[in-house]
Amino acid sequence: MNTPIVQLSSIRKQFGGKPVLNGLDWQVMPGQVVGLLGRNGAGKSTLLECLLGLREADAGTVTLYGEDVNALSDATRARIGYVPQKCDLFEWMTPRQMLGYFKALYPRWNEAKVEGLLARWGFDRFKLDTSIGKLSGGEQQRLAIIRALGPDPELLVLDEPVASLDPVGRREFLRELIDGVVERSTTVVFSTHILSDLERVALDVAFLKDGRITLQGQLDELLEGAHRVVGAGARAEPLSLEDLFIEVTQ
Amino acid sequence: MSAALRTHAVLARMALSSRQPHAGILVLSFALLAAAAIGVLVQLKMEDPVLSIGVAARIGLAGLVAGWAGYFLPGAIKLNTPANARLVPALRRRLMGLSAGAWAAATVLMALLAVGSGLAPALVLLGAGSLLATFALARTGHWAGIAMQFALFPLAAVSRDIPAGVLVWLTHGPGLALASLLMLAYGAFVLRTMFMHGDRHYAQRERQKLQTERLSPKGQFKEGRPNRLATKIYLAFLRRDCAGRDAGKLLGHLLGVREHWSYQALSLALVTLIGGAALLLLRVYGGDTLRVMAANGGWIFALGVMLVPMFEHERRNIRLMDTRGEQALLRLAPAMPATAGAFNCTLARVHLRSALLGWCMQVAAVLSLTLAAGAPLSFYAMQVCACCLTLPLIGTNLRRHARDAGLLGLGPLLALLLSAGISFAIGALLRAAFGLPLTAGAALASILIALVAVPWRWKRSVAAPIAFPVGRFA
Amino acid sequence: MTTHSAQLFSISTGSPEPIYRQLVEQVRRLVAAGQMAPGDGMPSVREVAQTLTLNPMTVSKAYGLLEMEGLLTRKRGMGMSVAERPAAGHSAAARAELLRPTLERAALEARQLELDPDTVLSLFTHILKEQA
Repeated sequence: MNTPIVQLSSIRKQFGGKPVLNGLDWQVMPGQVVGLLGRNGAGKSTLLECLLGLREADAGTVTLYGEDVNALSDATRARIGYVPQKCDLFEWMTPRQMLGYFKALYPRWNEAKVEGLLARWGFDRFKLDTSIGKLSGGEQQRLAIIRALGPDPELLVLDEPVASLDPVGRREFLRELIDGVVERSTTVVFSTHILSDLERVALDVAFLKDGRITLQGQLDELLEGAHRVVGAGARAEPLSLEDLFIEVTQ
Repeated sequence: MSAALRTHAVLARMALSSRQPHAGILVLSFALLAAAAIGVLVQLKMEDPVLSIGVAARIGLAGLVAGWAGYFLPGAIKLNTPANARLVPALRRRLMGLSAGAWAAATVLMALLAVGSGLAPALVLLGAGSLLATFALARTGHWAGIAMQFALFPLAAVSRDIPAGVLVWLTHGPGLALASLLMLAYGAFVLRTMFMHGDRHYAQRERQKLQTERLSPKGQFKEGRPNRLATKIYLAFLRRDCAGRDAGKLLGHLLGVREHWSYQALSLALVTLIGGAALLLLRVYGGDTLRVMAANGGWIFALGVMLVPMFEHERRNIRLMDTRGEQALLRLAPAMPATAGAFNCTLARVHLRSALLGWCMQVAAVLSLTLAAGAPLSFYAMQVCACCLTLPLIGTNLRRHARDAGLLGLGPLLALLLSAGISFAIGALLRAAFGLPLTAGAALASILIALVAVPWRWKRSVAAPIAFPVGRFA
Repeated sequence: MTTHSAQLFSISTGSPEPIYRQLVEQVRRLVAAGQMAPGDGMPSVREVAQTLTLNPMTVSKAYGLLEMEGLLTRKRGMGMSVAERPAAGHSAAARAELLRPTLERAALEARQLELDPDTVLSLFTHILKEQA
């Protein structure tokens, strides 16, 4: 199956005269685990929103599973899971109610997985009945991830999913990503600043700079191929992902 | 100056320092404006320059005093943190002393200002004292203070009808003493509420922040701690709708507790009960004059219920603006319609249903209140016709949400005035031509306007780009 | 015939070396040091991925490379295990290859200190003779 699941062509988007996405082309193949890297304000969230059709691009086309993103069919939307950057959504509901609400919105809901995740990630009976607005940032984020994983999505889009989590929370999230998601050949697109997580889980990375995907490829190849030329003697120093990030997004 | 006085002075300065940068100019200009305006009005009515200048001066000074009190008090409340209480000896006592002194000084000053004017100083003392105390209480975020603030306006309107005997009793001897004691007790309660110990201070600060936010146009409808009963009822409906899988109902839940029709029903029921009970009491225990007053004037109060929708539309709109994140998730949910047209249609249906249901509930409330006021039968028809005047507003929330997500502002009010004006004009025409009563004709005209305006807005909102998330193109 | 647990391995993120390469190097060193004897079972891809919180594809890439090198073999029904190698497999050339990463690092440092190869080599020979 070699047709890309996500295809963006010549996407242009500007905010108040300032271009954020400038002729961007991008493709995500099925089963890929792609990390989206970029400086703060580079437009990662905007790109992910345009990818899902939550924002109209000024020009260009976006297709998901071959469908134009402005009119996704029910079947396609049932296959997508999204974790937005803002985690305190539906803050007047309790976790139990919010998950019940989403269960009604999706045709397929893996109740067993949701219960298991809630139990493993520290949602006891008391917390399940506290309104989401009263939970801590980390708990809200964990809940958002559970909500996205509930319908067993085939495409998972995550916008800074671990920004508020402590190291244990991040490890647990990665573990769940590997066990529950990668094992099923789910396609994962996530943007994060935490490079160590990316190195563990992502096989591909894409760098967003100046409104385009300037560098994209398999993480291993990029690291092996990237060398910084230093000094007059043309010594080649290998780069870590962090150094590569700084160099590419300069 | 003794050390204690110096501490008091420092505390007073600190309390005042938390005011906004141009507070002084604001208060001054407001006081001057009020003085000038009222002076001119009095001049126009009484044609007595001396009197008008005197009144203007009093009003100006009163405004200054009120402004000072209004800025000092919140600052003082803010100062009263448990941490500060440890650092400054007897902080709480001193702040209470300062506030009590400010309150007493302001009240006495206003009473003194009233000397020589037509108003009895004692009444001004009582009135000003209670007013300042109520403002202070409202600033602490206490529910009673906020409620009383709303009650002030109708009270002011009704004050003219207070029988002279009551007024005389209040200004002399035992009546005055009792009223003063009550006022002092009220003041003491407010002081105690303002300066709380420990954790309760922080809870109060939360309420205060909410109050301050509500003063801004956008923060007006910020939800505080949700009412438990309303939330429980709402959640029961949420559960039922989750089992039902109706896209429209699920979409409606996006807006939260306060926008749900159950909340509206509950608050209308409460208003009707309380208002109805008050009117009934007036009728049963009041004298004949009060009964007539209630019967003839109560309908105005009842109609006030119909003005609520204007705030509701704005609130609904602000809620939409605040729930963009939730809207993104709903947009991606398979249960929601896929195409822009179908989605917008579902949303429009939710808005319209809610507005229509709200209107029906309001009419019921108005009629119940009219019943409680004991108005003659002819009034009922008139009430219904008056309610029909607000029918065109039903389409207020049918907007092109993707494009227009700003505040509605004065839009609905102007639209209402325009539609009411046209309706009355047509009503007058109909009365001249067919002898139809004015309000009935106006009601018919309003219904026609609604039948034209609402479908037009509907079509416009359905043809627009998909509504969620709102304000993308703004 | 022991089956090793995945906790034998460790990886570090933030290094210029890709993670699969780190795994390959570790297995090579463990086998050369004798900690992993021929015939020993290797932990499954899934187990390693779960223990180290890695993408299973990375682990299977490392295993695949090691299999191609001849260090590991796949036994039907039993997963990966250390390959039986002829005793002479410990050829000098193969062992010398293992020293390459360390020597490369030393060479880098020498270049940074701007030393010429002859100086470096004589120093190295001196050290080797010292420790012998």
